[in-house]
Amino acid sequence: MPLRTEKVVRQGLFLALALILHLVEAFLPPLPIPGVRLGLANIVTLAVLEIQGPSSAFTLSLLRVLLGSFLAATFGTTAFWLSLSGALASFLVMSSLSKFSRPRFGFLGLSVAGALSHNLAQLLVYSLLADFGGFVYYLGVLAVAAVPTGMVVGFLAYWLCRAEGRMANAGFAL
Amino acid sequence: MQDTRINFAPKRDFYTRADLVLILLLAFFFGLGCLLNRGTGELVAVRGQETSWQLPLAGPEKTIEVQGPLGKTVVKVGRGEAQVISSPCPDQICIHSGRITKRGQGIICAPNHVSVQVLGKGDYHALTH
Repeated sequence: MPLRTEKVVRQGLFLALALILHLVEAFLPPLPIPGVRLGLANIVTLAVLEIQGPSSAFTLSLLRVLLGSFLAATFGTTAFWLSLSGALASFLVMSSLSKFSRPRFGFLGLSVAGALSHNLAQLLVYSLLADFGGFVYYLGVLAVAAVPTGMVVGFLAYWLCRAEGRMANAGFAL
Repeated sequence: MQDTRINFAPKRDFYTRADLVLILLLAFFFGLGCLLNRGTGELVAVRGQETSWQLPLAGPEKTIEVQGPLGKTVVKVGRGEAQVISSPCPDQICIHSGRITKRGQGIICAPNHVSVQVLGKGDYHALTH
């Protein structure tokens, strides 16, 4: 059993990492397809889901969206609701797939599924806000856009988990 | 001496067969989406918070000012394309979306509650509401 302090420190480090990625992404120019994002902060959500389990991952993604919106001064705006819906949807899908799905998905599949649900949730919020009728036409584009972004995010999450595992094996309690 | 260390390496593989199936499924949906979007665009539907417009895609160039909660979004329609020229929204995603010319393409400005969509034959039922 890890100590409580150790857990708090780990959570803090992962939250800091997620916040940095969240802000980096906020500064990147938006992609031209509504609802499609790289989802860099999803790297940390997926890694924490694997390392610490769903409850930590949930807290992390919620805190990340909240604090990120305070730092970027977007709390309560459209951007905030978009990132909240995306983060919650991808957390729900990734955590339930990682727990219940047989056959097992790898990092790649989890992250592609997470990216897809993230995109879908954002497009849904977009459509509701702007009364956009073209939802159906975008499904195909969104489905295929989730593959490259999900691959990058999945690989980086795997890499982060391996790095954390190596450090833990060497006796550093990250 | 007995080694009591636990291995902390990730228990999950990077990819499994299920992942590849998922990706193939998504590619299939993409193909389906392409089929849905076949056909030429005919009308452009511009929807604002209160008013909506329908203009022919290939008609003469027209500029529409759509009033939203943040201010005026200016949309240019005609000569086979539609485009948001200026918008009061902070993220400017609608401007970055550029020109749309094909059926099924759209531009959404969520902060100012404006959407632009190219419709083809058979899409008109989408206009009735």
